[in-house]
Amino acid sequence: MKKFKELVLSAILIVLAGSIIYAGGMTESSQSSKQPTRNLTMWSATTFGMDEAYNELIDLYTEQNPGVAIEFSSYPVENYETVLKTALVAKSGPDLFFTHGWNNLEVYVKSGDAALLEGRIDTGLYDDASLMPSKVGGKLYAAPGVTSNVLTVFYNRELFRQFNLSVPKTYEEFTTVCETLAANDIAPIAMGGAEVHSFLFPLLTIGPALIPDYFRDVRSGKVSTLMDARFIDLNKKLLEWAEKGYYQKKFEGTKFGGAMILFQNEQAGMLFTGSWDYAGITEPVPELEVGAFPFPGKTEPVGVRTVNAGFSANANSANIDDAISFLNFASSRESAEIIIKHTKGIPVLSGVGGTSDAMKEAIDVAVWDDFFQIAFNIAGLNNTNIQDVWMNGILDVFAGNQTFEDLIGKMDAVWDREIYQAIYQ
Amino acid sequence: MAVSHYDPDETARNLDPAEPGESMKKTFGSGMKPNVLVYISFILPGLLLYIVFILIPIAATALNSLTQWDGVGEKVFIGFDNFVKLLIDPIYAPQLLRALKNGLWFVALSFAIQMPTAIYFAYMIDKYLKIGELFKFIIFLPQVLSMVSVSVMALLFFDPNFGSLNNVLMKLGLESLTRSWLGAGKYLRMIVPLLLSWKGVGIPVMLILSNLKSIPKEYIEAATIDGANEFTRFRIILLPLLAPSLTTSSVLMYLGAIGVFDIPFLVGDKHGGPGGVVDTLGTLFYRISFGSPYLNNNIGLGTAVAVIQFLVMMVVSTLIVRVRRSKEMELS
Amino acid sequence: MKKRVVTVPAVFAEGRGGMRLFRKIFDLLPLMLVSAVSLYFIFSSFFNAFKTRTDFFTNITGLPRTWTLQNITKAWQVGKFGRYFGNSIIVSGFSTILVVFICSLTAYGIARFKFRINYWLYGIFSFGLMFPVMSLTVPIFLILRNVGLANTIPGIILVYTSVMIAFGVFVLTGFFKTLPTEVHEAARIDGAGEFRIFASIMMPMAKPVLATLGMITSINVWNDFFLSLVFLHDNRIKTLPLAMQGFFARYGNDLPLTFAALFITTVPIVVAYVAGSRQIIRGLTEGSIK
Repeated sequence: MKKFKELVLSAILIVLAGSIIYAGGMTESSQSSKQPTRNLTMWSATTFGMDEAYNELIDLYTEQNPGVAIEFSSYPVENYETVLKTALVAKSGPDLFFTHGWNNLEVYVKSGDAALLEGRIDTGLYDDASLMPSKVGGKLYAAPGVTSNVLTVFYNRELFRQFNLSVPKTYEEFTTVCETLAANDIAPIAMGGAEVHSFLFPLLTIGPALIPDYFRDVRSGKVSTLMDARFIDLNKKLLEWAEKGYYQKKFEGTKFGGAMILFQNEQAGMLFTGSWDYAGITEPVPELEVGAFPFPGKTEPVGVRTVNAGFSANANSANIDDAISFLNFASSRESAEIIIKHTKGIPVLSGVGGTSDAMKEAIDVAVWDDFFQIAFNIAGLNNTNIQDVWMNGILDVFAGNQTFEDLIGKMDAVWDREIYQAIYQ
Repeated sequence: MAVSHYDPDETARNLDPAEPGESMKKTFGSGMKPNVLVYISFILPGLLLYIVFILIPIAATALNSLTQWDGVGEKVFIGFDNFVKLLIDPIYAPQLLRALKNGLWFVALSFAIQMPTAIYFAYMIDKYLKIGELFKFIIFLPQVLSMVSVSVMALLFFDPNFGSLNNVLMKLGLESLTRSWLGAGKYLRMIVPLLLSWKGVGIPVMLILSNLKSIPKEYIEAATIDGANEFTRFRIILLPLLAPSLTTSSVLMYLGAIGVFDIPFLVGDKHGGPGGVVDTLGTLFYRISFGSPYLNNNIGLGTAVAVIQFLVMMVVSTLIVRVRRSKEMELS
Repeated sequence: MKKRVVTVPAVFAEGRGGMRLFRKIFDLLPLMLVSAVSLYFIFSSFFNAFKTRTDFFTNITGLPRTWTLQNITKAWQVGKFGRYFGNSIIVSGFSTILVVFICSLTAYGIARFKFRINYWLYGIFSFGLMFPVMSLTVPIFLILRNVGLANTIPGIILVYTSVMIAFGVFVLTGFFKTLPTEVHEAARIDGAGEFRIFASIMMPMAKPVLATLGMITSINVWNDFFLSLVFLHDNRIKTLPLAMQGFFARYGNDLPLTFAALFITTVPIVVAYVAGSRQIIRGLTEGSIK
């Protein structure tokens, strides 16, 4: 009896203590919210450096527009869609929300959640190509993306210097780099083999460089199958690298994060990923000398670049005008400077400073080719896309349970060839 | 005076939603004069909350499984197409089968790990009361940690390069035993149920322990006089009397493992780990409903997976309870 | 079937003095091993929080060579965990009280009143144990919005309470049915009303099982990630697991920092458990015999 009383008493005490802490938090926020009258909420998926950039943008904007307060939340990438959709369907979504553009934006346009921004946002600074992901049916539904995403090969300059290696200009030179590093007990490529998307980065990076003719043929309609010797051979490179020991030992059990840490720790010489990870790689180890090279093509370096859409405004927002005004601000050159300052990434607008040397190196290419990446990403027949089929089966190939021919056959079955004609008229 | 023990047997028997069982019919209302108003004031708060926040959503979800719906756009009624798709489509049917197989494997392994250890732990904790307190505390400790922390601990523990496990093995000179624990293969398929058991074994230990304490000591003393040794005594006398808590534990283990989402999702990923080796109904539901940012996600199809999970859970846990009851009848 | 007799070597049979100690060690050895591994698994990650970066990567398995608080202070600053603790305490505290209170009323009604509908009610309640809650989030959120409680602390408390009701009713109904009717009859003859009987006779008898339910509820709610992820949007009212997941998504590239965040968010729970466990665990098992 006594013990039960103690239990109840301590429970009540805990709740009381909690209420006091909570109430403390409340008064604090109510004091700060005396001034602003119109509240906006803004949601995004977490990426390195971006959260800090958005917070600075918001501070600057609310300073210039005292009547507005903006609350920013970022969610882990794998949970973002869940939260956003549940909130939007209940019509209590955020006033401003991030989408990946393309098909992903189309979903929110169809449901009437993304407001039409055509003519309401000044996009004069941006060219047509960089606005493509923000458009659905030729009309603007998202702010222009401020940073370009480039697939690249990060490398450790110090290790390259130590072993007298230079940035490879041909595929053969690339293999020589790998052989040299491996011979010196450094893993050539840090590979997160326990997460399928780690394999996606090298595939999408080397594709346009090694078999540009195949993708040209697909684009022009000359070839309309994935079951092409060139495409199959391209896939086989990933397995070949594993067999030659170009990945670190036990790469099968390494998560992508673990691979990144190997690279940070100078235990691996190269890492395939995108420019969005630059801030994440260097943040804990600012002294690391990081470079990044575009993968060597047959004659010249070929780059893979895409642009995301910027934020969209919620069509059901009570303060839609403020939301659009913020988007206008976020599309300005000034905002681009702030974002690049934090991510050290690659700006869409030319002349914006702050890009890191490594990223400058990554965009020093002769040809840009984003066809493969887009073609691999978008929805195919039966609402299934080939990238998902590939990710579902690639490790079965590594385990020897199926061949690349089997896997690519499955992808071919759901491949919607007509979509490309619609994109590249 | 009053016997106030919580009887796990009663709980287990009542788990059967289709037929609450003889004992239920008898004991529902132990001779109280019905007073509708008083009764309603007892029942109402719980029932109201349950209807509003659980039953109505269940009905809505069941209806959603008959539609094509991306989560924000228009719902299109398509009958049982989603279920047909899950059963015969060349992309989805193998994934459903894989999820079911993995779920059954997790159930089998959790049983194999948790049942013997839980019985042994409970017995020893009961036998050595003083030191038992300490062990009880340690065994139950993982239960209070959140899945998020457990998964972060596990990811860092099993990492091939920076993980404690491989590094300890290396220090001990057992380099040949180091493995790619989190890779596509048998190790990850064992790590997931192992973590599940490590975190979950506290509950069956508690259930068995309180069952043990409710067994009159005279039974055991009588057997001691007969000269039976400890193990025989345990097997012949105690084990049958533990049936109630063992049934409840098995049902809870089954429900906890068959469609488990957290650990495969956090230690693996939304694809159910590399190569889908730990893909379950839970991760399959999540992947189809919310998984891919570039696709039109299909919540209609996803909820069809959830409905299948519900059926699988209900049928088998009903079965466990039935088998147990029929055995009970045999004995009496 | 042939009886399988496992004979325990004679030396292990109950003896005196040293022999008994030997027997005790033999009995408890596996339990000790499991406990040791379990504790190492948890505490090795705690120690890593106090290592410097270089110390960490050169000395993964051992104790820190030089102890540093740098990681902890940095994780505390960027994670802003302080306010989330308060929210988590409120949410799990109120949910636990509500679950225990509401479930005992409902279960009592089902177990002790002679109405035919109880038979059906019980079946309906056990439904909730088997439906994966994750698939219910969209409809639940719509309902919350319609009653004006979306994205509020009271809203999430009601959701957690409802989610735990099935389990609570399931456990408590089984218990209330085992209580003897004689006490009840006697009290009624003395002229006590139903609520008097419930509050002053039945509830005290139910202490141990109520403590069990309370503990399981508070642990589940405290640790839940998914429901609070979907239902709580304001940074002001988010709970601790959300903050943790967000932190790991953002700072997973920095291992010492990750371990520090793990330490900050886990140690208070472990300490609370150490402090409370003596009472709680005793409550769990003790009432069973008395």
